[in-house]
Amino acid sequence: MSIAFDAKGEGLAIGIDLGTTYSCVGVWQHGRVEIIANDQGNRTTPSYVAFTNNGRLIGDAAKNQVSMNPINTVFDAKRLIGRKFSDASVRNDMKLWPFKVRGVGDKPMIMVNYNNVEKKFAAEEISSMVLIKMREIAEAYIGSVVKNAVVTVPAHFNDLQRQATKNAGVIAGMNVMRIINEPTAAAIAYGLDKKGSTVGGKNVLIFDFGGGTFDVSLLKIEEGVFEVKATAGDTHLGGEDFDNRMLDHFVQEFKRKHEKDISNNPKALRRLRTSCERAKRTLSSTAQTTIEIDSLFEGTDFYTTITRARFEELNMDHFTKCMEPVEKCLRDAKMDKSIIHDVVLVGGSTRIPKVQQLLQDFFNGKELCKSINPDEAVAYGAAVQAAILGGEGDIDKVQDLLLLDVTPLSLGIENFKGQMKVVVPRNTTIPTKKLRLFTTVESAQTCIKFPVYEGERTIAKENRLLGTFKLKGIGIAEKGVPEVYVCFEIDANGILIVSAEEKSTGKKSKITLTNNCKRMLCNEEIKKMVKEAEKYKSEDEENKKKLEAKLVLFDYAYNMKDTVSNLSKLNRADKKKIVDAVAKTIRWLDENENRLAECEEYKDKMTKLENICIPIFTEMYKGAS
Amino acid sequence: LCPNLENISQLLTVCEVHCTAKNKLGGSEMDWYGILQIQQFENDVTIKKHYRKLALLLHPDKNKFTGSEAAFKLVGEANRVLADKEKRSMYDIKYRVLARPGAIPKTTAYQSNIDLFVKKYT
Repeated sequence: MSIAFDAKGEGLAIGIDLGTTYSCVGVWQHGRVEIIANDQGNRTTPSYVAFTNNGRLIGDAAKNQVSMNPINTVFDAKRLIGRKFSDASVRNDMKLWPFKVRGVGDKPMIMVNYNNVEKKFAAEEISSMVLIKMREIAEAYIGSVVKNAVVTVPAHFNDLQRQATKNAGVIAGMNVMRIINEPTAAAIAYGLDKKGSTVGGKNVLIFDFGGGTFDVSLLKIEEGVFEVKATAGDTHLGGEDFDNRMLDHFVQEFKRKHEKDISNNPKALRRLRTSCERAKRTLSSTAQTTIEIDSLFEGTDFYTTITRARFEELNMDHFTKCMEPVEKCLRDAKMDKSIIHDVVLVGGSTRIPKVQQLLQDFFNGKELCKSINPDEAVAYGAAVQAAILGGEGDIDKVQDLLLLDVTPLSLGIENFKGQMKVVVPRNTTIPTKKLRLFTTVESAQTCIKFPVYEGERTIAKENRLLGTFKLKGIGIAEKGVPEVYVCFEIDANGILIVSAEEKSTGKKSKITLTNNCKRMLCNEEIKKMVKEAEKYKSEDEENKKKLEAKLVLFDYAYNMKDTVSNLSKLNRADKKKIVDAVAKTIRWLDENENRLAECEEYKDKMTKLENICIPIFTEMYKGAS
Repeated sequence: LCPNLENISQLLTVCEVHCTAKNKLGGSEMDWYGILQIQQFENDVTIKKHYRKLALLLHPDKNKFTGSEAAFKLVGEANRVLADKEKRSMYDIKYRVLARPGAIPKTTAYQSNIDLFVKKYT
């Protein structure tokens, strides 16, 4: 019997860490997790998608060509997913992105030029392309089709962002079995070997500081049950913000030194940004590093140095901001920092010495846990969860493991005074169901409007509106008489369904709210995007075929050129015939260097060339024998 | 006894939780102690232990029977009320009044439901 296949025979389920800057994929096989390297041999893949005239590139290939093609290379889709175009964070991010973002009905759309056509993509579509890439990496390793996946999101993602991430999976043609929180996934990676080893459980603080988001989660691990006690964080703080600070700093320096403003030149900015990211990484292990970019702008070279102290000063406010969620988390869980057994570091940004130092100081000099790989822990945990959900029950290691996650934000309804009436308090274990009684505020009122909000502010408008729905047909009665039960249900994915039911007159009416917000994608749109994703995929395959046909022709032409020049037996006329034909073909290839022609065209040219060359060679060999 | 014994205990737990939830104290108040399958004067450690045991049996990740998710939600709520000292003492006041012997024949109702279930399925 093979343990590699789940009960439904749908093949292995994988775990995907869909990151802001990098993504990572893992699978549970042969009783352990394997983090899978991509075709370049890297265990993390950039969450980049590039659109060129020769097709679409995803991952390393996209990031490698980013300086050449900055405006059509999309990254940071996670910072857009499930957000409104009018969000302050989107506005700020846009200033730093070389690609164009436009609002279509308050939904941010990414504008790119693909095959010389202006195209617009939703963030979900870009994320789905990254997901497809991650699945392909896994399929190449496993050697069979992968359908099911567990995808991670930052703990602090709201309902819309989770929904949108799930939609990205649908567009990618995958079954997203579960959306889990990144710090929780990391906790599994940390706690898998440690379960049952301590009596009375272990309190673990996960400090997850990645490329784009920051999360803190407090868990209690006891006898294989991972119970999230509290979670807090910032969906918009990470390594990229440090790059941006450095970028700003160097743009100013360039202006000062050379009196030239590069801030409107995407190509120069991109090259500088890439150098900044590299410098930031170096500064985690050395005290000073240099930046050297030849001919950065209008032929001017840019050579400079930056010290760790300078880097820390530029980002000090970011670093200190990281300690707030830690405090909040402890407060919410009603725990003192002295009873935390372990502080686990996850995410690339936790390599920054200053971050480690601040955190260690906060915990009164406690040694930080670095035993897990900060870049891979999340995918590792997701892969374990995928194995649990995939029903690979015969694996003792995961069989009695259970993950109890919580809601990151309070959920509630705005009452007639504009206050937020919390129905589900934050850090409630999910799945959960909560009922709350509402009533009418006017006599003979037949309709109640329920605006559903998410957040911690007492004034509803200051929270995030998830959607509004109405309950109509309430029986005519005095104000305050009808009893309307509003029910909030959250499933194990953290996705919310709200319904209302009126009982006072014996008449029942029920309304379900499932992502019917304007800015969310409706089913029709998703279907359309799935179709388009399939189209893009077949285009990719088509392009691959074209490229192969092109290379075959290329090879043949140069081979002939070589062979002919080395052959003395050939008579001059025949030789000239071949040389001319080859030269013509190569000229044609050169002319079409930046454009992929149809497969048929290449094959046609190939046949023509063969028809000239083959008879001459056959003649020649006949003559020789 | 039977190779699917584990699944049977999952199914039974789902039924037990739902039965207890149906038999409300005084017709309106949830019997959170009954749902967690413990006595009123148990300490925090026992509450936690029972919650974990039930969570492992009922969480939809572990239990594919219909109604498991709803049962888990009830157990979660019971834990939320009873694991919090303040909420528990508030609840205890109500509980003492409603669960007084003779106030409501709650145990019989609970028992008869289980009997019904056993008759139906055995």
